[in-house]
Amino acid sequence: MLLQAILFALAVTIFGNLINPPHWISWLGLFPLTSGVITGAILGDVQTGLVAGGYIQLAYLGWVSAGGALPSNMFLAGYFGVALTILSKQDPTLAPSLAVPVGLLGVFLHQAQMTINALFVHRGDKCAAEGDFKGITFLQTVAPVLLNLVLYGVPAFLLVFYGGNLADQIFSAIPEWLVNGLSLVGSIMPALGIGMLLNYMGKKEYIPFFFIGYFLVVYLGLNLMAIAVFGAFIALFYYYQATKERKVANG
Amino acid sequence: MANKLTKKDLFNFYFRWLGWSHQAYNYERLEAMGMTWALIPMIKKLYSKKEDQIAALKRHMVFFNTEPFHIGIAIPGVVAALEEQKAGGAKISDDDINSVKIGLMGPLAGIGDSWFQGLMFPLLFSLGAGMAIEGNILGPLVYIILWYVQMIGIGWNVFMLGYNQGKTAVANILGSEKFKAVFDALSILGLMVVGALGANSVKAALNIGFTVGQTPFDIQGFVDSLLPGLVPLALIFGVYQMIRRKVNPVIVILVIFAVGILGGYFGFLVAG
Repeated sequence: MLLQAILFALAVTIFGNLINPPHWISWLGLFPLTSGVITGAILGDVQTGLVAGGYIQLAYLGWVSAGGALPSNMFLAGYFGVALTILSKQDPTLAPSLAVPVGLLGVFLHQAQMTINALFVHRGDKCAAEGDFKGITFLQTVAPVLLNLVLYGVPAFLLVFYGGNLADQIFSAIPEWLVNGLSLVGSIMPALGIGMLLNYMGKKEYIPFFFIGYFLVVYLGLNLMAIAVFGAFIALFYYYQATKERKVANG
Repeated sequence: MANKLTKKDLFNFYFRWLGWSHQAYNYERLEAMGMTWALIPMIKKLYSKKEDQIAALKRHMVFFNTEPFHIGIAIPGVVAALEEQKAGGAKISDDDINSVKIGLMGPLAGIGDSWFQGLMFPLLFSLGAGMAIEGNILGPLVYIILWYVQMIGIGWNVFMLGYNQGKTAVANILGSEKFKAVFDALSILGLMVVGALGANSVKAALNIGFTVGQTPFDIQGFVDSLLPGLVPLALIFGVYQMIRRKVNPVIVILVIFAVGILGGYFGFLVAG
């Protein structure tokens, strides 16, 4: 467990938060869709990690962040939610119920990080005034990672090192109807991400296309890729129409 | 004769900016140190005097925040051009450079956020997560490949557009009708995929039955004959309405937990 706990702590330090990973690699491990696979690989169950990460991703589909405000720490939630699911040997549909509360608590870590990072910038002012390039490089690329090792790495280590037994005990103590209820919560939770997404994308005149996609699946059982193909051609048709009309309108 | 920036210098700046813009992200000045750090090699090349280098570092250690990947990345491009001209002797003050950054960062962040959070996330995460929950490892891979292709393809070109043509050209192109049409077209594609995902992922059915006389009556069977998929759709739109009325997401989450746990306890709702 020691090696796994260390690897998990490193993964969470690098990827388990919005602002730390260099963007060249952040997209490989930031979101639950991929962090599930990473966590699964570390804990020895890639398949559960993949599916659990997928479910958690759905719950967070429409969550956006702008200007550093983060409504829920979905990055931490992805890692912790999948790890808890695997450690407690639960069904992946339970993952959102485990992840979402972590996401809410994780907001405090994000705020701590965004606050303490400001101290590095104040040091950076001094370095700038002295023309100290190396100092700025340290404060920009090393110091925030060290901070993160404490803020994110330590809890992640503790989760895997001590969490397995604890999760087992908790799940054997709670009654079956509650486990079923939490699993049902997992089946409803994607509605949260999708509802938020509709609100964010939400031009009213395009909402019918949401229903088209929905009922193509309900009635015809098409898969997602098939719908993406149809959608792409409808989008192309719309684009030609829109640019043609505008050309006509402009004379 | 002042130094000119080569393509390699520009790529180096782009590489540093895109990768590290957020690493010391903070409430006070957000991407200020990310910008300053990304500029270091360029500052060293353009300005030979130490006091000019220090002035350049200081002028960028100020509040700055934009979308760093696709659209806001035009600003570093514009900054590179301005620094090059300034080093070449053009009369450009610190305030001039700062006001260009401040003027562009908000509008470009708006377009960039809509692009990646409003179009790319829904599209790629819907496809990826939709496959992942079926146990298909291609889900994460499809997302990763498409994400990097569009991020690098768009970002590098917009960065160079900012460098070569300056802020007016950037504003004109991004405000053009053609650009808006692309956005709307992709919204349509995105919404169709999200709709499909809704049908695939939200799984709930009513489990209420009663008998009238001798005839057993099953509500879900009745719903299915009327409009299949109505229950998940009602759940999605219930959440959507709450969000639209600005109900705190924490409350929405609690409501979902309550519905799920009560549904499981009394058995009127089952995972479909």
